[in-house]
Amino acid sequence: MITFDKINRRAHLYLGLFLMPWLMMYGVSSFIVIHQSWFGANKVLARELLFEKAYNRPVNMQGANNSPELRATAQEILKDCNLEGAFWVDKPNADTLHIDRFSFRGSTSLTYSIKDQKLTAMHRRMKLPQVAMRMHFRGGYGQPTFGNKFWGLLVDVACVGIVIWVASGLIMWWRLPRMRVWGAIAVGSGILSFVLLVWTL
Amino acid sequence: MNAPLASEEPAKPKAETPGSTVSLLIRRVHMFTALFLSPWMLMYALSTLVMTHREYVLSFYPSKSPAMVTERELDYTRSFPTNMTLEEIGLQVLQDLGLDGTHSVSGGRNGRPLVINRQNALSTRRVTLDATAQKVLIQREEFRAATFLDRLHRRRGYNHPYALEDTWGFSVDVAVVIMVFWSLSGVWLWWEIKAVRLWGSLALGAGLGLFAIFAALI
Repeated sequence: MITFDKINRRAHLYLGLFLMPWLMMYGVSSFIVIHQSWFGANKVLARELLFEKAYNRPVNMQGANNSPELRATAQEILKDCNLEGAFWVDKPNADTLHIDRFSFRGSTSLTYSIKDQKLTAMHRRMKLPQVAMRMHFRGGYGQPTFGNKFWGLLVDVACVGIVIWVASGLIMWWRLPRMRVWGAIAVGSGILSFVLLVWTL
Repeated sequence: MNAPLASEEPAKPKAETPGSTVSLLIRRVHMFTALFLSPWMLMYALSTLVMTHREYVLSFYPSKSPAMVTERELDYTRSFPTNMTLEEIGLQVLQDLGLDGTHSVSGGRNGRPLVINRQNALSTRRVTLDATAQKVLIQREEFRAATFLDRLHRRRGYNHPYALEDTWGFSVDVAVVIMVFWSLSGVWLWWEIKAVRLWGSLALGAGLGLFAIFAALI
């Protein structure tokens, strides 16, 4: 018969193995985020021109930056250019629409000048530390396409997974009578350090 | 119920070998560091959920941002030389109020009051110096669990000249380095248990495969 202990251990192990790439990514990327200058992550590569072409599309410029109205227009422009995916949109001035179509590995900046009826696309590749940072900051369900939403789901699964690791890890430790004293010292000192830091920070 | 599961432990060598000592050491470090750092991990997991579901979380609160509650209003007569920077003035005000610590300064020009945001993990304070009226207003942000988690998640440390800030930064560094260690040691510990190699390979393969696909596609 499968005991609770065995289910708990298996959950800890298999969840850990499945989510290992995310844990690794969050560990590495957090270190890069904190020490960006060490990795040159704050220095960006130059943009390269992808295309510049005549373009005409009626644009509703009423919405605020990244508002649903502006996003709907941006999504149509991206569709025209076969560049659908995650993006942000803003209005640098009254007759210009700027779309940042981003991925983990790069970002394509599309600038639509309504006055000149011209669309310019520039692409910037990301350096490896920047790719890690982009993975770190990506989550939620606000971006279009199935892939983006599924990534959001995986981030949620990773978070719930961490909570399960903590709970199952505590149970696994408690089931080892020889480890209880030293384990209690580790748990206790961890909680105490955390509370003290948070209280005084 | 409390007996260790024989199938979960690696085969015990008859005599202690360097390999088994290393294995035991990895197992213990994996466990004790995890026990110590569990509050950090819980905080990061919960705060990430708060961030990715911000709209939903905010729907439980009456306003988007927490309210500022007035703590004190004091007379403040100290005058500052004109060549003093706003940062120096802000620091002096905080020291006078016994509130020295990590902060940022804004305003203070063109007759506008100087606003000092004194960071605090539990609830930030806003100190407003109205030099014309010679008054200082101290307000405290109402505590919100969601804001608290969000703030802790974003706090990186090292950016301000306070030892406490560096201590927090160091604790975060330790946590993230140990996360990498848990990943690698977890794979090591799994591989030692022959009975779970097949299903473990499937779990690891599925995770790596999905991660690689998404890294390439989105």
